[in-house]
Amino acid sequence: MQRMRDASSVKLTTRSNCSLMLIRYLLTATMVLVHAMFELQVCSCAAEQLLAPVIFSDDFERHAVQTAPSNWEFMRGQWLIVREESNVLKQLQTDMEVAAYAIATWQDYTVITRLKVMTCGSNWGAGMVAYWHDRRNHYRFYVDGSGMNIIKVENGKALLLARTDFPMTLRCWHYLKLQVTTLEGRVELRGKVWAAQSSEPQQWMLTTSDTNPSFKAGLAGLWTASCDAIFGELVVTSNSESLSGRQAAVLFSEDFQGDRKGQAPLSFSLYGGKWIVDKEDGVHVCRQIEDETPLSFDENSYAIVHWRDYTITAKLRADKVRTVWGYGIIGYHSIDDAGEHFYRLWYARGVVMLDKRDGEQTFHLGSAPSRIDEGKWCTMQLRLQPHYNGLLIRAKVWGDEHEPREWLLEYLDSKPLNGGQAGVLVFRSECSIDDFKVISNLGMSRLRTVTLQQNLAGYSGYEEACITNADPKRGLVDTRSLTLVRQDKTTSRVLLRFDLSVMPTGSRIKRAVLSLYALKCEGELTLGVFRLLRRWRQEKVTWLSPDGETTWSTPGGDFPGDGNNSPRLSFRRASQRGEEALAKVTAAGDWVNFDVTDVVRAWVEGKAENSGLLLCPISGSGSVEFAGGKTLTAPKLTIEYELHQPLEPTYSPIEYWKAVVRRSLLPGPPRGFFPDGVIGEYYDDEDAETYEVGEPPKATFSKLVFTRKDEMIDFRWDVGTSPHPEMGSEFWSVRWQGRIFVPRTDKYTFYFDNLDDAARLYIDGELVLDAWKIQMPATHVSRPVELNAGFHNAIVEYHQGPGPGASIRLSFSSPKMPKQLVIFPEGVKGDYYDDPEPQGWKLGEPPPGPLFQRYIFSRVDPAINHDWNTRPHPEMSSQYWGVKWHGKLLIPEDGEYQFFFEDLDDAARLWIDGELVIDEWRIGPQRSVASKPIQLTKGVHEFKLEFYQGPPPVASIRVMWKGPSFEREVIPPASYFALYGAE
Amino acid sequence: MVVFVACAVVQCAFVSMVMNLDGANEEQLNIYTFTFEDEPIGVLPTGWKAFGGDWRISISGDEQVLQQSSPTLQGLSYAVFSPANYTVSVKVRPIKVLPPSGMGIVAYWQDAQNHYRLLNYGNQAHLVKVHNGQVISLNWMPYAFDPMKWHRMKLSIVNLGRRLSLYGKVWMDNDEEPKAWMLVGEDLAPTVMHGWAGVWCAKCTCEFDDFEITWGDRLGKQRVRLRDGFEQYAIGQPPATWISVGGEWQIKNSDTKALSQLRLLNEHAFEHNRYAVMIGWGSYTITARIRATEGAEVYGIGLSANWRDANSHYDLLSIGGTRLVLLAYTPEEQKPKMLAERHLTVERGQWYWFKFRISAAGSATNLQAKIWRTDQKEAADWQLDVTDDSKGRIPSGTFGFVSLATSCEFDDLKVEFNVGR
Repeated sequence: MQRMRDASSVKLTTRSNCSLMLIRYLLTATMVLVHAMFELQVCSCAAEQLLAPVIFSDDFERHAVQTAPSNWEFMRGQWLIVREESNVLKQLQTDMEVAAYAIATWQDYTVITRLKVMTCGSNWGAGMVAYWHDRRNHYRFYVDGSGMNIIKVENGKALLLARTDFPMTLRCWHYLKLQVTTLEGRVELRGKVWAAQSSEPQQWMLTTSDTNPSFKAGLAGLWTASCDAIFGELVVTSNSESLSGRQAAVLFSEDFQGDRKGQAPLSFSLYGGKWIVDKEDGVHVCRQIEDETPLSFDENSYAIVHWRDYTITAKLRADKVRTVWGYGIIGYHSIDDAGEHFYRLWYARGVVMLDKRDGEQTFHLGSAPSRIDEGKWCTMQLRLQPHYNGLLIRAKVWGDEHEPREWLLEYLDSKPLNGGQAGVLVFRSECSIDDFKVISNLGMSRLRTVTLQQNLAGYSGYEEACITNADPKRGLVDTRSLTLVRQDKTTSRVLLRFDLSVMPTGSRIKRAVLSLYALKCEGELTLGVFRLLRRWRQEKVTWLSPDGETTWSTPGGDFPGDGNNSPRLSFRRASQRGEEALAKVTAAGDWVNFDVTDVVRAWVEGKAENSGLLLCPISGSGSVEFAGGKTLTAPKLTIEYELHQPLEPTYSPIEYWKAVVRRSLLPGPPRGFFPDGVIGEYYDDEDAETYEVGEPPKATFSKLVFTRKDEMIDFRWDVGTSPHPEMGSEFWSVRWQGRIFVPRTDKYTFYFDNLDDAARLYIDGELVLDAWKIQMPATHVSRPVELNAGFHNAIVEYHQGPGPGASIRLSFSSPKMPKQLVIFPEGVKGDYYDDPEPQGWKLGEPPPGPLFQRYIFSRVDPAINHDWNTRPHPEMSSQYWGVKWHGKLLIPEDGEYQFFFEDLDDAARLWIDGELVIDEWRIGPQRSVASKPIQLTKGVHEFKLEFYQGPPPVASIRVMWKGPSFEREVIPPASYFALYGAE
Repeated sequence: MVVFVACAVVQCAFVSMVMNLDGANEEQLNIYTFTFEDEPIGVLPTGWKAFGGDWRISISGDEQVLQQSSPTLQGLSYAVFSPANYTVSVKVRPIKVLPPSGMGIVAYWQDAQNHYRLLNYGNQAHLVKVHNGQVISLNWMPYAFDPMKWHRMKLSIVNLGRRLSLYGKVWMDNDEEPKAWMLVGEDLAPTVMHGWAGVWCAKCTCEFDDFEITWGDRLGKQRVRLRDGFEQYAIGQPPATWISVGGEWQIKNSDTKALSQLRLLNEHAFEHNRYAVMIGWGSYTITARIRATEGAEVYGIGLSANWRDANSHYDLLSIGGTRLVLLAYTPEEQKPKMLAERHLTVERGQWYWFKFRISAAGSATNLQAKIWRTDQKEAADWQLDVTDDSKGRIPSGTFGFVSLATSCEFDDLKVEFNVGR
């Protein structure tokens, strides 16, 4: 143990030099602390800024009235700051037919990174970018081996703004720091670079001003050209001291520890080069490894910060509206060649909607009826939370009342957008926006670690004092060191206090560690930490008095234990003295740690008053000098805590395996295997002359208007609309038939949400949920139904009766699965069988029986397009096995169809509607066969195919077709039916 | 098949850039004719790109039309022509090079990050795909360019639905054109399926001349559809009908006028690609049959011309059935600029001919338009006639259809070089 500690000390000594300058950093940024903490094993978690980092916040007060705020990017519309009771951002143009957007971005910030260049070409560079618009427009601060440069890249042209010499050693860590500030008519840029083993220079080394700025705000990121470079961290801090007393000015910090080695860093958009997370000095780093770009003639590689895990909250008010109007908030906004990408929570026509725009496609993710009045403030909140199986999107909207506890809309997107900025949108209305905030969800996650250290991320709640019996009437004020002595009859003690009001209300303390850095040590001392019972004043406290006016009950400070009635809070260590924690100090140049979990918990939970801690020498003889509060290694309190409400879902990924709409890129009408989704038969009914609310509807399901495949049952037909022009908006019905898949055997509860009017659900022929009556919109819940894992037949009958509006949404839940939409898996079901090796076989003959003897497993294959290099299942042998696929085939239009087996090896046969259309049931080499052209009518047809793999090695089949309006193709999974309601 | 080009046709097409073509026959004047009859139903035809809306070939009565089928669509939506199957050729000579340098042809241009190229790279010739800035060589062969010597390059690109075939050849200008394609490349996972063409170079200064784009008609007959010999431009100026990305492009007097790229290096930029791309034409007339079917009260139907991107085009639009307007969309302006308008009644459900004539004239673009019911005679005079001589005028581009808040149908599109008035 001692040897380990020694080894650690040596490492620390080396590192501590590094730490001194690292910790200098921590005055403005926190990330570097990770390393020190990592080495010290104080805490395996990363230190973080205080409370939830504010990624962006604008109450518009600092902007000049009648101007467009320059930290926003506007797309369409006329946006101005307008003075009301307070400033608001206003969109004034109402004559636009498309929505106007305002996108928040960063302005006035400082970027810090740690860089090591491993190898490079003759002409190279590495550094950071700021005010990023795109790869052709931004500022760049970089080193090139001989100097440091600040350039402006405008429309692809690079303009050198400033340069100074800076010879740089390869394969050594350096810090790069860039500060950008937007002022009236200019952007000021300041940069400095220094080797990691030296202190940060006091002065900026490169200062320049762009007096003709084309961009006044934008994101930050990393950049390299023609080199293999490693980046340790990236921290972005606001140039303002602090956004408020309790909030740190850190906008973004990434140390890559949460990323997976070998993969791209998650919090960045990557442009050019090859960026991966690698390991260096035992911790994760970000590495751009591509140092040559032949043929591309573009050596630039960028990793640009994108906002990823956050909650947007904004107040909106429609002031002047046209007949159809709307507004909302957007997140994950980005633009690329494919177009715009974002999630959008918006209100229009009495409905709050959640959409996803991905290039030219818009997907409707959910909606809920809501009433928002003109002229009244409404608050919208959109949470975008990366999840192991996608992106969890939650939204809520509220007016004058308190924020509702429940989310109004929830959706898990398994193919989420990458991340991006946040903003607001306004559609055909004059609209005011106020109090726009983007808060990191990390600040709300269950387990957090915060490090309290004077000046760290703006923290200023630390107090300290030294007292000694050698001079009992005087406090020893030396903010550079704290001395404890136990020698002869002299005793010196240290008082410390950390203000814990910064802790979020309701925090549950999991662990708290007090750490002091030993500068000098003579002799060997055992130190105890005691909870002080009385408040003291830093400038007045002495051995005899806590405040210069009153006296301690016991000279030297009042604490629980001997001589005091107040009980100790910690019961983990039996001690007669009453200390909360103990530590022996034998050497300098190291951190000394005390576990003060119980006392900090008592303070935070309000069970004891936080009067601070008393550090006393308990045994041994000598003195120890700790670094004081104004040094770079000031005492720190590291607290691991949990918030009351866990946000992370507790279910396993399997439940969400299909909880998202899938789409294909294939154009044209739907065709292919059913089910993927559910077949809906849409019927028109006679208008009922009489009806009774609460009575069953008079649906006959007799006049079929059309059949189509719906991906799921989640519809809202607005007033005056219907699924088909031939159906009125009243008195029509739908019968959906499909198969649901349940991931595990469990009791499932089914729901009709917002049902208007009647519906009933049958599972495997049993009526599970009966809401078959004319009614006002309502939610219906089934009894729990025990279902075995696998497929189950489902039928939903729905009727729209009299009156405006029609809606139905089918969802389900289980004790182990949160409520989610019922989905209908796509493709064709294959039953896989394994057989014993037959006695013999002949080329050109059918496979010898008996066949399909031992059932192994079933699965849904999206298409029959297989070339098995290995057996389909571990329990199957590589020869003599077969598959029976059966399902329904959706024929898109009447006409002549032809089916094909391509690369067939060995045997297969195909039936359509029970008729054998290809019979190639023989052992043979890889080959292609075609059916005769057959006439098929539009709609659903029975599909059955048997495949058999005889002798090895090749096992393959590709089932294709061609139709009257499409060329030969693999029969596609019918996953491309546009969701109703999508734009 | 592609090695042909009837001189007369070339001459006509080329001359059309600078003067009218009185006397030329109809075939020579034709740029593009489209009846949509042979196109697969339910999809947007190859070579068209939609910007919003739901555009597809549909059956209307007994004919096929291009339909924008979303009646409640908010905002303008466009279907714009962007060629998909064509051959590009150009003459190029390197002037000053910093090896390894490159020069060549760009096809299927979307932007600097996404396109295809036939290029010379050092002592090699490559067919490459550029996808999100990454360059992938589809095929290559040894071939070195002689400095200061004219070379010819030809790239043919064929859209086969789900894959692309590319063919390239390179030869000295004075030599006979090789009969066979020297480079053949396949892209089995194409990410762009159409786009305009241009020229490219990197780490060199060079000159380009005799740029032309050829594609076939319905019967497969190949004709030059777009040609630029750069003779009509002023020396020392960038050619107005080209867009450039990076570098410094100017007309220089070589033996004849040629397009020169003058910037050798962009210090500190670490990016050396320079592009000049030609999108569409400067002087041409679009005629098409259009009708609005169902939709909002305030709706629009019409034609778009000189389209370069969603922020840069002219629209001829019948709005609300009562007004005919000419709008200019330029990147500099947040709102479209009304160039001209007049009262003109258009009935929903009725087919109309829309005719839109664009004439590039020096530093101005003249726009003329008229519409008339298909069961009536064409009006003799232009109903709108305006010249855009603003700084932000759009000198050239491609053509398309536009729809606003209505489902509508388009048919019998004809695009011709201008002739007469």
